[in-house]
Amino acid sequence: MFTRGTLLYIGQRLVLIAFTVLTVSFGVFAVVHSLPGNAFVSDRVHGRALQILLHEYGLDQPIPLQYWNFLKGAVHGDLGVSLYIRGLPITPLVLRELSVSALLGGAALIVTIGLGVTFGVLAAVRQNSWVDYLLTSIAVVGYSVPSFVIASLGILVFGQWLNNLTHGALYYPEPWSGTYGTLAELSLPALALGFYTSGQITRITRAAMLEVLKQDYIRTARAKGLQSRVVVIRHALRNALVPVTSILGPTVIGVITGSVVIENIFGIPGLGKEFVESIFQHDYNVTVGVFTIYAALIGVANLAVDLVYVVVDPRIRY
Amino acid sequence: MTARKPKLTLLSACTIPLLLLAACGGSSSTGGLAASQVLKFPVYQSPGTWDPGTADAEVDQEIQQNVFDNLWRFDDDLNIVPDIASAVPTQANNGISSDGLTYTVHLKTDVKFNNGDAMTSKDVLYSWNRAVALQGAYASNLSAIAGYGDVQKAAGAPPSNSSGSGTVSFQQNIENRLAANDPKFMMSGVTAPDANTVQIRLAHACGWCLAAWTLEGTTGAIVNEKTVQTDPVNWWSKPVTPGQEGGMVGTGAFYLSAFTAKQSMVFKAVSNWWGSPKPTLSEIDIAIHDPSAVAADVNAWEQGSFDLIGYGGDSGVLTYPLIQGIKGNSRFSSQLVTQPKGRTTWVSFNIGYPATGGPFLGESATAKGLRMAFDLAVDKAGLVSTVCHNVMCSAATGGLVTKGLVGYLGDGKDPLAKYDPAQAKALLQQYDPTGKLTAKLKYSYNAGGLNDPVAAYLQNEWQVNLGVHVALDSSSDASQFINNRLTGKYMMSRDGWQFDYNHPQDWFDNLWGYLATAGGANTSGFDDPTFDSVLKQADAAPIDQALPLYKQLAEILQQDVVYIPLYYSVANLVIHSYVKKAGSNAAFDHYWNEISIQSH
Amino acid sequence: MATPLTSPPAVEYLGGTVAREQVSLARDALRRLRRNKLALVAGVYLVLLAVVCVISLFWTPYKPNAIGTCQTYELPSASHPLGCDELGRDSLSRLMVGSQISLAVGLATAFIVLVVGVVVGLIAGFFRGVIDAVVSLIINVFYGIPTFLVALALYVLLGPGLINIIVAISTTVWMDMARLTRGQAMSIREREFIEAARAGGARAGRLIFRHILPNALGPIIVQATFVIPIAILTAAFFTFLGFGVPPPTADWGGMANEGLPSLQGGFDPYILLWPAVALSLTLLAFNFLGDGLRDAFDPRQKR
Repeated sequence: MFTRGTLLYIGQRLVLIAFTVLTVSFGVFAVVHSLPGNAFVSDRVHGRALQILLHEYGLDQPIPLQYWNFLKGAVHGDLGVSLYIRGLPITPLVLRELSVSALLGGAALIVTIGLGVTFGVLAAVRQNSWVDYLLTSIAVVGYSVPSFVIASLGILVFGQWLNNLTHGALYYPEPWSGTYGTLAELSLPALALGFYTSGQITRITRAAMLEVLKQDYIRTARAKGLQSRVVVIRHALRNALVPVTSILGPTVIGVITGSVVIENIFGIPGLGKEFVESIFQHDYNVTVGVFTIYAALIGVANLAVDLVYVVVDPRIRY
Repeated sequence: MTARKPKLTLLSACTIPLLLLAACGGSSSTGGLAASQVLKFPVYQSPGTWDPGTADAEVDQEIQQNVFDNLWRFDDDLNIVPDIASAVPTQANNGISSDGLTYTVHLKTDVKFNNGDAMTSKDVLYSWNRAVALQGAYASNLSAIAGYGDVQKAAGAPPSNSSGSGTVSFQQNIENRLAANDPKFMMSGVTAPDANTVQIRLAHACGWCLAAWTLEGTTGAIVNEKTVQTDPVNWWSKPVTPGQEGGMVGTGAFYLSAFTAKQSMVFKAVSNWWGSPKPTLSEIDIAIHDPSAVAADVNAWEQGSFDLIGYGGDSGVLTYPLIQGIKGNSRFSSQLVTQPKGRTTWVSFNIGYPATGGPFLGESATAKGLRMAFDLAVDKAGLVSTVCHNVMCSAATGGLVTKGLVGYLGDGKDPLAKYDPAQAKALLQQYDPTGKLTAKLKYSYNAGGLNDPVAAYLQNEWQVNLGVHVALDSSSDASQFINNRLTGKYMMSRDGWQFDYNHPQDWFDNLWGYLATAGGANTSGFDDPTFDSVLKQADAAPIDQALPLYKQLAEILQQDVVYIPLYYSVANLVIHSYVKKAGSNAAFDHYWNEISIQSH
Repeated sequence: MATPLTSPPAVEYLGGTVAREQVSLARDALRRLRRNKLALVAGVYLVLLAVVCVISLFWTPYKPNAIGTCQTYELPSASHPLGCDELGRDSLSRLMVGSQISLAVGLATAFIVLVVGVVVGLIAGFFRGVIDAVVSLIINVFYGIPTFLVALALYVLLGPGLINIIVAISTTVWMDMARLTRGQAMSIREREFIEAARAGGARAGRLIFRHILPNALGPIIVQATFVIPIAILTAAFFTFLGFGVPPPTADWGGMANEGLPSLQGGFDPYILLWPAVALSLTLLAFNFLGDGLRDAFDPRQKR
């Protein structure tokens, strides 16, 4: 399946990913360390007490040396210790939060692709009808209305009003419980996040479907008397999905970016919330660690999407 | 861990994203103890550290006070009562020598760490010497003891630029030297004549020391050397496994049983605990939530998933809309608890940092007059009603030491609490007729909580009453803001203090004058020879003699217009009525071992 | 005006053809844009918004930062059509003033991205070689990272302020424009009229700005239109997460953030609702307009 050219391409991409991750981690490391302030200073920690803490955590060393120490650890999977929860190793913490974010992101991706493809196909099949206009407009609403607006209104409607209306019998439950929450707790965040990224998929699916539906072989299939639904599902959709895979990369990035906001609104203990929190708290190692993970994740996701592309579209060779 | 409910999950999976929940019915209280004695509540900050040697945050002390003990403790009314020590030393009971410099402390004989070790006088020596050597935020609580400076000198400032590997860390070094009984690391003023007696000798008279040593969760708390040695930096974050060495071991009624960072912590009662009252609660389940989740948590509290909200130092977390919602709900309105807190917020003028400049600098008539103008232009009662809706805070009219604490001047006794826009305008006309001096003013503050609306309110007051536009310098980064404030990089700045122990010294030593300057904490830069000499006198005297002196200090600050008093904090907690004895005072939550859950 | 007696040189002639094609394309595009009702409505909304924004520079019903013009949390009434916020400030006045920040961020970012992205893209696409390799590498690196988070980190470093928001966002969204322009430049430079112009002795600068740029303008304008809502949305995310323009400056993201606590328990939804609606409508309008422009400039892609 993978030609030599493809393998070479994968190799090149992996090098680029490594380069990106390294560049980005150093960039973020330099940025967070040059921010004024630090994790320790407070009304009560200053002067000598502050100096001792800075020293104890190696923050009085030159930044290149600190980065070198970080890299040495990171290579062995050790992202260092938290400065906010003083001395706590952060690798297990960050990995746990990554798994929470992955759960949310996975659910959101299912929502995104499900909604986007369904809407896109329906809009294309009923081109220029009110269905088409409605669905394409919803798609634009999806990526126009900020996710925090959708999320807060969702909380108000399903969490508060429905609760009042049904006297606590039926409502969207909050807060997030335990590490992974419950399916019910996951539902609204996943919907809010997935809706946000589904618009582009609707758009691409619709355009691709329109293109495919005009092709000769679809006409032939229809002429042969195949049922419209069968034609759409078996023949047209399969070919229309090819361009959809091409924007899976940006979609994954969209989900990751969107999760930062969604996790903060719903109080989900994932990587996105950690990222914002760690910036506020000057928890340098956490910020850099989270960022490095994000960069690696996006690189690998993009590569995976490209490879999926090779599989679904035999015409493509690298 | 929350028990999963598979049926409900299935249901919600099939239908819309909603969960069917049966509300905990309002069945009448039968008066007896509930079968389950597990207390559940959320907190809104992760712990920073629970190591008493380096701890510096009140939120952490709320937890620590249930795991560690000091020689004495504060009762719910903030009186000092015996804890590990058998009595509170006085001259009458021969605990304090006639010159006031030597304390003799007899320890209870049955005190045990919750790893099973007996607690003796040696543990007191170890804990206190360690805390002094670590030189953390609260090391100065022990500063009056003879030999304090020598130990800090021996422990030294950490060497700079050591690469970490190969060299022994600052903290590890302290443990090594203490384990080797290095005399340089032991204060000459703390000795152990026998296993159950500790003698403390002071370098100079001290009227506040007993209160400072009693402050739980800080340098006066007793830790277990064997445990600390297992991991000098991170021992505190590890749960205690019975029969195993290490973990967050203290002498308190509870021990850490599970800790998932940024998610949850579980504490369990120590069986056959030595102290009293014996804990009724068997377990404390604490969820660590984001402050944005508080509305959802109130919902969960109403459903009975939480027993209370506001413990753990987060008593300011309930917002006004939530408080109004609870007040308007007949079922829950009686379970809202309002508690004034020992925290005052004010505006500091930059008085002593010339590098930053500004019209308020120094002691000239102009500087003082302008400070007065900006103070009188603020309607403090209006602030409390507009920003706090008369619910989240109360007007600071009796000086900076909060109402209810030792050193409070009395309602309306602070002349700076007045609001007089006419006089303010006149002062501005007099000292800055051209408007040149006050042309480019800035008010600095850290974003979050009441600080943003307060800043907007102040800006509006100065605009309306003085016609002066003051730019708002908001920092979303608290540490950066504090850094700037401590180094005097501001003109006017939000300032405040939450008291540690109920003694005026806690305020005056830490905020103004030579001691604050030496500690790098004199935010306003106010220093004055009279202030310093009165402060020295006051700190050395017993409280009854010291009180008039502290009042004199407060008056010096007022005459000099060092600050604009804004408000005293008020905590709002929700506590189900079936949780008995839960609550808090001006400083701390009530101890867990006093609380019980009635059947409901 | 005299009619030229001699026919213009070949290069100029070709250039003239290009220009004339451009004009007819633009006219064509405008006609198609006018047929697109949604884009038209969006356009009208944006014009109205611009008018409101300009008015708010000089006049608002109340001073936007004045406290105590009404009760805190006052509900909408005749004197305060949108009600008042948690400090008793008039919501309508603040909403009006808030448009300034959103439009400033959107337009300024689009402008910076337009200049930087187009110049970088043209140079990379026209000259190829090392310059192109370096630019492509930078673009690829940027595509491999969560740019929103980079912008956030950068913004925190720069400190709060309107200009810093614009700089932080511009730094992370220019590469879409650069990539697009680069692709356009690469394909246009292979066209025959460029060869002809080159043969006629035209310099690189002239080729780029007289011949290549005008022909790539359609997609560039469309892309620039889409940068505006992206910038507004990103800025709103910043302010919503608490990294915003310092208060009491009214901006929609920050107002929504302030309104969030009032939403608790359904206490006063309006404080959040107004900025949320304004923000959503504005973003929708820019996106609809962008869609309309894209369809207008690209006749092959039919609705």
